[in-house]
Amino acid sequence: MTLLRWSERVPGAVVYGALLVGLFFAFVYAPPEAYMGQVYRIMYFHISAAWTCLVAYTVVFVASLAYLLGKGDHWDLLARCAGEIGLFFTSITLISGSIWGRAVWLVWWTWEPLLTATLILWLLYAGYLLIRSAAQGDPARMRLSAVWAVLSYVDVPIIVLSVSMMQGLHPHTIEGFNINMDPRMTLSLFINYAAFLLLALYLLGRRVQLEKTAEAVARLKERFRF
Amino acid sequence: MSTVRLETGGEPRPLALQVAGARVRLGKTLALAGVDLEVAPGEVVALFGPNGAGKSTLLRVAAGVLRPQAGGVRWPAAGGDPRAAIGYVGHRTFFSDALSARENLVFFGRLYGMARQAAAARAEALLREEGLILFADDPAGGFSRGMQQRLAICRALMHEPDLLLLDEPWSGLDAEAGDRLSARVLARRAAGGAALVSSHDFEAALAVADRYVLLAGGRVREVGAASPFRGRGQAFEERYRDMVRARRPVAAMVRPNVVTAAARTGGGPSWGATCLAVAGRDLLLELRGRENLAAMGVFGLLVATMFGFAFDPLGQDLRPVFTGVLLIALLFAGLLGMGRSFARELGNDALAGMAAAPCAPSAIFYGKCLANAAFLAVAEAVLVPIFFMLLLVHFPAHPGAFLLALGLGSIGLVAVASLTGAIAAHTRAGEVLQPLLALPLLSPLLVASVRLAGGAVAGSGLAAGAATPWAGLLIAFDLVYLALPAFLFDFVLEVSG
Repeated sequence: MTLLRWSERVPGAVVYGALLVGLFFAFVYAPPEAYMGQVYRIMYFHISAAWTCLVAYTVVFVASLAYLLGKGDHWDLLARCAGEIGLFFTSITLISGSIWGRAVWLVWWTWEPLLTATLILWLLYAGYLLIRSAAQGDPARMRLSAVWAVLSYVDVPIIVLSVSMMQGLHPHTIEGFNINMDPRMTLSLFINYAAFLLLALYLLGRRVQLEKTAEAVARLKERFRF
Repeated sequence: MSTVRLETGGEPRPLALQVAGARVRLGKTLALAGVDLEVAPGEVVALFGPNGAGKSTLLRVAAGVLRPQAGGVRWPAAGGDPRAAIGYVGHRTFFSDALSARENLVFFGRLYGMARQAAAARAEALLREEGLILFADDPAGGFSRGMQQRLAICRALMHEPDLLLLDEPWSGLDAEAGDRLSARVLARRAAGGAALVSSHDFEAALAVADRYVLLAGGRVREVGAASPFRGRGQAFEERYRDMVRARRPVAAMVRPNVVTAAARTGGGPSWGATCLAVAGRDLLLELRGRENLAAMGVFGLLVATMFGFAFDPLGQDLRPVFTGVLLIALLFAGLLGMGRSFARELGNDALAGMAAAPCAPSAIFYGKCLANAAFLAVAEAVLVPIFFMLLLVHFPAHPGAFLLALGLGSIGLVAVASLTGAIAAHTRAGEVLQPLLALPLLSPLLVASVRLAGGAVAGSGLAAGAATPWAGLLIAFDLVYLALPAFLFDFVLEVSG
């Protein structure tokens, strides 16, 4: 069994440490919410995951654009890995939002604008991964998924605009730069967000490394073809 | 600009084709592992190699329909758009089966910038020379393999190219047609044209070639003069087998030794001409097959009928849900019909043929959109009144908002359905994938259309203040998705190459 090198162990330890700190702030440091009590604490993971997936999709967009502009195949690799991670965090957002909705609104799902927008976002990026698996040949896979990533990202503000024009139940504790929360809650939220961002960055690094290893293996096999 | 010097000591002439270090990976296979090749005007180069050697890939790179991942390709002798100077015959014909031989040739002539009448006259002459004039108005899909190959050669010669790129052109031809092809290649060569010809028919290829190039494993293994082997195909075949078995090391840069021709400038059709040619061809195809309109019409009718059965319009007021049902039915019908717009082009690689022509990729896309918009408009003109009649809902007395929602929604639907159709056409199970891709993208369009049109149908009507944001959202959506393909479709079309 191959042990991880120190250079690989340290970032992982930092990320798991940050997540533990986030848990402490979410469950111990932050006070209970006046109306919802303890159940609101899921917000620290729900909002952090939602913000993280938006960052991941921005990475997918920028990397796809760079690939299309001929900056190299490694941008496609970055977009692919960030797409998977973005979808993972969107799934966390949807699941945690659904659990929260069951506790607060007594339903697992409601056609509330922000939830709907997040579901459409999940569908768009599931489409991104579907194209990657269904396109025939590497050049097609890379180009078509990059085109789709650009199309999807441009759609995000239009989706958000369209659903925000409908009435919704979703609490808006953050409006512009104003945060209507207890300062301890705000601090806990941002610490958890930082931990989630670190986790996403760590997963992205590991995923890219894994893909590079797979490509190196494929190149080695290619050498023995001729 | 790369130049080579005439053996006779004349002025330097630009090369017809220059491939430098071309490297192409197709999936897990390294199809070209850094190929260098130069072809001079007035020179014919024969390309030999076993199956999977990379010959077809090299020709696609030389035709400009496949971009190498490393290295490059140039056409120094060609002015303007180099694709205008290239005549390319690939493994597929690039034709639409439902169109006649003449219509297919005229369409490609127009993509190469020829006026309709000039293209028709040239097609007539080529069909006559090739002995196909009796079948000129028959659908190309009914042609035998050999006839299709002869027609593909006519297509490549339509615009009298300076550089012929022929991938196994003698394959499927009878002796007479084969000799005619050889004579055509020699005639182009005598007129100063160049050619790169891949073949397994050593005798035929060596008879027209100045040099031969042997490719194996994506690398150039040997280069030589063709003249010592002319008329000695058997002797060359033995040598070829030895060469392939021996796996010789990579040969040096393949340089031409004959130059006789001058460069010719080339140009492509205007953006509008390409757009109209593509739209006209799609409308003609629909007229022949009636596939899209029939699918859209029958699907819409089915939804109206099933919905009527399920909800008994006599017993209840369907107005609150009518607009949603109508627009969702139109959306699915549109995706069903328009999704095929690009999928049907893949049968004979017609998209690759368009990619090889010197026309703007965006013009091809908007030409397709124009035809799709016409199909959708016809389908809506039939289906919308049927929905109102079958579901017993009165047409709004003030239909402005309804018609505005329908019009703006249709524009966005055409743009998204055409683009997602083009993407899905290059994937496995594309028919299933296309709605999965398009529906989330279209969700803002659906929400806005239903909100805008729903008020008009329900009789409440949206106040101008409430309607404006939805109309604004629809306009923004349409503008974004009409503008984006101008940048993105180029990359989708490249995949067809």
